[in-house]
Amino acid sequence: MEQPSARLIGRAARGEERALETLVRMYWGPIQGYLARMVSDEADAEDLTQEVFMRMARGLPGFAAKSKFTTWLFRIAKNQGIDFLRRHEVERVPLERVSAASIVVDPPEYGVEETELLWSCIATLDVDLRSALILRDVHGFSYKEIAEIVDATLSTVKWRIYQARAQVHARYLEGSAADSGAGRSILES
Amino acid sequence: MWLRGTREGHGAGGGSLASSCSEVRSLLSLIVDHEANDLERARAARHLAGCASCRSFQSFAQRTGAVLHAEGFSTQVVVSGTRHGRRRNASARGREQELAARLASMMKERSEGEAGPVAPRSAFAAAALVAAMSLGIFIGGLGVWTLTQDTVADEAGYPLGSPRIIASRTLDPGTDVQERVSILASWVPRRLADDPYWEKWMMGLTPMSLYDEVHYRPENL
Repeated sequence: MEQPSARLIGRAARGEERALETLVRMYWGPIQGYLARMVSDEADAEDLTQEVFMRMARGLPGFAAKSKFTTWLFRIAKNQGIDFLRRHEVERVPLERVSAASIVVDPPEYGVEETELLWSCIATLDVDLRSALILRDVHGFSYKEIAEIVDATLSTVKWRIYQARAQVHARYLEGSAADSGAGRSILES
Repeated sequence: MWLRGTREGHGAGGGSLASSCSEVRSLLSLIVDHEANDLERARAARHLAGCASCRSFQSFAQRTGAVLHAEGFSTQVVVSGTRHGRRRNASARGREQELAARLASMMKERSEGEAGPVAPRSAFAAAALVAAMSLGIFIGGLGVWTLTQDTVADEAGYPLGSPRIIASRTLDPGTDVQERVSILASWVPRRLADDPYWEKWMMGLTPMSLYDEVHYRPENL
């Protein structure tokens, strides 16, 4: 993910509106997308994104650049998302270990419906697994960066990403098999 | 723990596969993300050669990774499987500008608040602190002043009112000499001060010049 220059961060930390606007423009989409997938509600995600940028502005003067700017910003977003889920007591999907699926199919090509099925499978994941998978696959953070963002060890991150993929894989296959129309045709293709 | 799994074998020669499927899939997840080392890659490759199920998982992980990554670049937000188009239009730009303006004004207020006039509550707290410190200094000073005032006439002609500590000391049996000792020695309890051992110790605390002065004063010899 693109990093802002130190100069831009410095200007934003001094409260320059143009610099702040540039940062908001650069990261509004990724942060809002990440939060939307985390809290499963676009309107809530938008409010949370605003709050993330408020916190970013408050924290910018003290931002020591010890970590990447995006890692820092996503850590704020992740904390916001977790706080929101706690406040609203959203039930976490119980974590179930997925055994290696015995169904052998050719991996499908992804059309609109398949992508929606994929996202619905991701939406059922436990928030920790979902968050790790999104940070990795959607935003392209390295395992080390993800560990920093979610405040977990590297091995925990590896485990979460693997579990997320295994669960999504299993549910995708189940979803495809249950779907009499497009799903079956994908499986057969 | 996450590497543990039941040994399963799928496809040709599955029964003789050295690694379990779940174990290998955890490695495949690392391989897809370029986070595996050579050993792990070699181990997974050996297993993949005879396991169609794991090959399917690897392919699924690679393709979904690519699809999700492409989603990250797109401007669409997918929530719970429902696709909502979000184009970067004028309203989005307006919202970003508005948010930036709010952030800037918030930061300005904060910086002004930090450098601005002291709030009444803070001023009261500061005044109370200064008063308490002044009172402490006054009481402490009064104590030191009291300790250092010589109320006994100086027999040897030392100037009255000069800071000194007067303590009783017995150098010779039957004599009681008032002499200067250090302020620390003056606080030693009397029973210790009368003890010859502690007397020496007290003298050790007394500045040498003063010690010599006391000992070589004619009336003490």
